[in-house]
Amino acid sequence: MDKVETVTVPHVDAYRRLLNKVISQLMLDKGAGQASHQCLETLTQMLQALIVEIGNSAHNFCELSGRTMPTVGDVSLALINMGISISSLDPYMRSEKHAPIPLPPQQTQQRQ
Amino acid sequence: AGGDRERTVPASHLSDFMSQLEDYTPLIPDAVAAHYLNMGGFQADDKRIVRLISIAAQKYMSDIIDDALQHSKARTHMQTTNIPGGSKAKDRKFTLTMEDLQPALADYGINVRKMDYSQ
Repeated sequence: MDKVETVTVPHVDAYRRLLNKVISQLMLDKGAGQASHQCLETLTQMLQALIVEIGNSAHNFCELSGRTMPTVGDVSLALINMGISISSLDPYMRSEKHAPIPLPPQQTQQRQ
Repeated sequence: AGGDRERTVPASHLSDFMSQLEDYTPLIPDAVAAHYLNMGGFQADDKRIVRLISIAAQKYMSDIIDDALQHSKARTHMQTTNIPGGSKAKDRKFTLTMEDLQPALADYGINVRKMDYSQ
């Protein structure tokens, strides 16, 4: 057995590290046991950019109709505008059962 | 009246879907999705809306990884058929590299290019 190199991500924020975990879990489920560091990083960056972009787009649709709180309609408009089909999400949700990634333990902040 | 009825059909379907989101936890934790949505100026009180976006993003990435693995499998299959003693590829673990990710992303219209000076 060749030695598995441990990947350390020292100064990356916690949210980003969780996205890294999400991508890793998705790849494991698909059957990719290994991935290059560059590949994992590209996919993590893509996931981060995608979520920010959907949020931005949905927010813009919401403000366009004179509201401040986004609704499901705004999000679905944003998804359709980005070419993501909503009708395919339902079968995906049924077929894929993942164990959710647990959040890291929170540091308790002492009150002064 | 007929037009109204037609309009309610997909809406009711979406509301069905939204009610299912209540007890489905996506791979992306809600707090993480909410944080990145906030970066885009999006703030929602309803947890289901965040989950809808999480699932959409998760499926998108899942499809890309699937495509990249298909490329990888096709490539390794091509290599093993060309090389005469390479029949051991069946029990080999799949390794995802940029070499496979690049054509998969190109199908989605995303151009990934390594800078000339990067390793």
